[in-house]
Amino acid sequence: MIKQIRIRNFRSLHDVTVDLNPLTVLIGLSGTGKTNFVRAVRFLRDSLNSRSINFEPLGGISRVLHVEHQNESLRFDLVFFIDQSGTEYEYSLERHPTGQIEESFKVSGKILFQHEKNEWVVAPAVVPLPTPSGIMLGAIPGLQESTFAYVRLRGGIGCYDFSGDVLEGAGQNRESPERGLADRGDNYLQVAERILSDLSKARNWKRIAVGMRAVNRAVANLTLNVPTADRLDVGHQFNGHVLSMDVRSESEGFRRFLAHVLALYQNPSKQTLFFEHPESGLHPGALESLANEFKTCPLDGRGQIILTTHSPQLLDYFPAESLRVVDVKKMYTSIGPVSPEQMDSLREQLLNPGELLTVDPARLAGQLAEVPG
Amino acid sequence: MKRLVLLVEGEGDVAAAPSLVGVLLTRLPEDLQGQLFLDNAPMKVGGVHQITGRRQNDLHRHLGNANKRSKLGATLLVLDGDADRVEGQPFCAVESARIIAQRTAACGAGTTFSFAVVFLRQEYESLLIAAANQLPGLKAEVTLPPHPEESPRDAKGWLHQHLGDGYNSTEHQLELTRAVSDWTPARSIRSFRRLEHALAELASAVATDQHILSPISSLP
Repeated sequence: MIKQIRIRNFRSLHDVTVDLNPLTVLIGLSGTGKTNFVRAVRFLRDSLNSRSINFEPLGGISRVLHVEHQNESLRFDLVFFIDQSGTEYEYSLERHPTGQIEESFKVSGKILFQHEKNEWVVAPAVVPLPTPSGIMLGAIPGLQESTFAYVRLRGGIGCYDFSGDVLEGAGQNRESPERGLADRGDNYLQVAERILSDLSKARNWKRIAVGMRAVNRAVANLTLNVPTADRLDVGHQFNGHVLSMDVRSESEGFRRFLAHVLALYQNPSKQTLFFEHPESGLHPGALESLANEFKTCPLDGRGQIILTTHSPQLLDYFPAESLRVVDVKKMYTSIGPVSPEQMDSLREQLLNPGELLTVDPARLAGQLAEVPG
Repeated sequence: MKRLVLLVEGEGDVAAAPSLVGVLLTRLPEDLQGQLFLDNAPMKVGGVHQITGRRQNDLHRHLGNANKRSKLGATLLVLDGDADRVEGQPFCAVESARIIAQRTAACGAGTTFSFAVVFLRQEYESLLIAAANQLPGLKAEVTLPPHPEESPRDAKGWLHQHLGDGYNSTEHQLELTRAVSDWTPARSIRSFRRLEHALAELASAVATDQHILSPISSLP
């Protein structure tokens, strides 16, 4: 689980520190920086994956750095856990304007390595000692914790913003199935196959099928063609029979819901899952079921959940403590807990969470004008 | 000085009502000046149907929520008065305001803070129409309605028809409110005078620490 993340100089996030819970819901008006936050984490993950910081997919360096801080470093600081042991990992990655990489890695407060300007500041206790160059996390033979952390951050983060045509494709892509459900969900057949391949978790497949009834009450089951795994069929109860239909012919809402659930039940589980606007395209009656899936995911050890939403109905299902307000002033994003007075109102049920998007828009601490004198 | 929280109907009101109320606060009698400080986050509670009937407890929650803000002295509910029926009865702005005000006693209004209800007839935009000759973009050939309180019934539609750029409350309500430098023409509208009076009542209540519900109910 990522406990805290600090992002410096990524788009509107000039210097933002966010404390994250097992379930965190980001709320705020459009254009405040919610998507920038998710993109920043995705950017970090992809940089670790490629072992290089490549700005081109996001339109070049000038589109990534804050518009008023183009000559400053880009930096990420994360505090996270890998398992239930409580061992705290801290990882920092900084890209200087010169292009040089600075990196540090701590476990339980002890620095295991730190390098800058292609030299070790704190060398890892390994022999032979590699020369630091680029991103070294996970690339130091003999430093087991570094490998764990690398695998955690590289493959353990899913950033999902499913489009309306999700699950309409062939369902296979070249991405390694070990990497889990791709961000766009276009390897869903591989993911479904891996869920089914773990018989010890066969009940998860049944839960997925049952969960789909929140979207369509006629759903009887989900079946994956084996051994070729070339189509995922949805069985519908029909006059006492089961009519199977390829998921690609299902409605957008159905496919979007299923994509979210596949992400939540993928095998192996991600450790942190981001979902942007999961309510899009869904019937309001299905939101409670989806919210329950999000809430049970961290409780079942299937990963930490971080959501963005504009849906008052969906927000009503989440506890006040899980909410984080995203606001922007003059192109500088701030993210933090709901203001103390609104938190009091939420706890006393004077305010429903959804009303933070309608009646009394969510505020950060200090945003309510103070009475003079 | 105590906080005044506005409860308003829609998104346009959230933006515009503080501007209007802020102006009116500066025009209170001298002895009532400086009693109320206008809160910067109005609450959008929806129309009269969102706080009456089966949803009347929602207003209690909203007031309880407002009461979480520091140094609350008064709350002012400003709604459009263009409903046809409320709780199954033909709508009467005065009677509905009294009933709503009386009900809020159950959540501390009138004892720990003051509360007033104002229905604008027919709607907020009626006040803008009363001062329409100050609005930028008003078409040259337009004749102002003689009784903006009663007609036009669709004040938003009237503005949309007679302003060069049309009218959208979210986009234009604040801009037009700010454009009015002299609200004297609006004083011909009874509900505008009621708004002025309600602010004076709230300021007076805060000044004397004798909290009120306004309008005072005639019900048992």
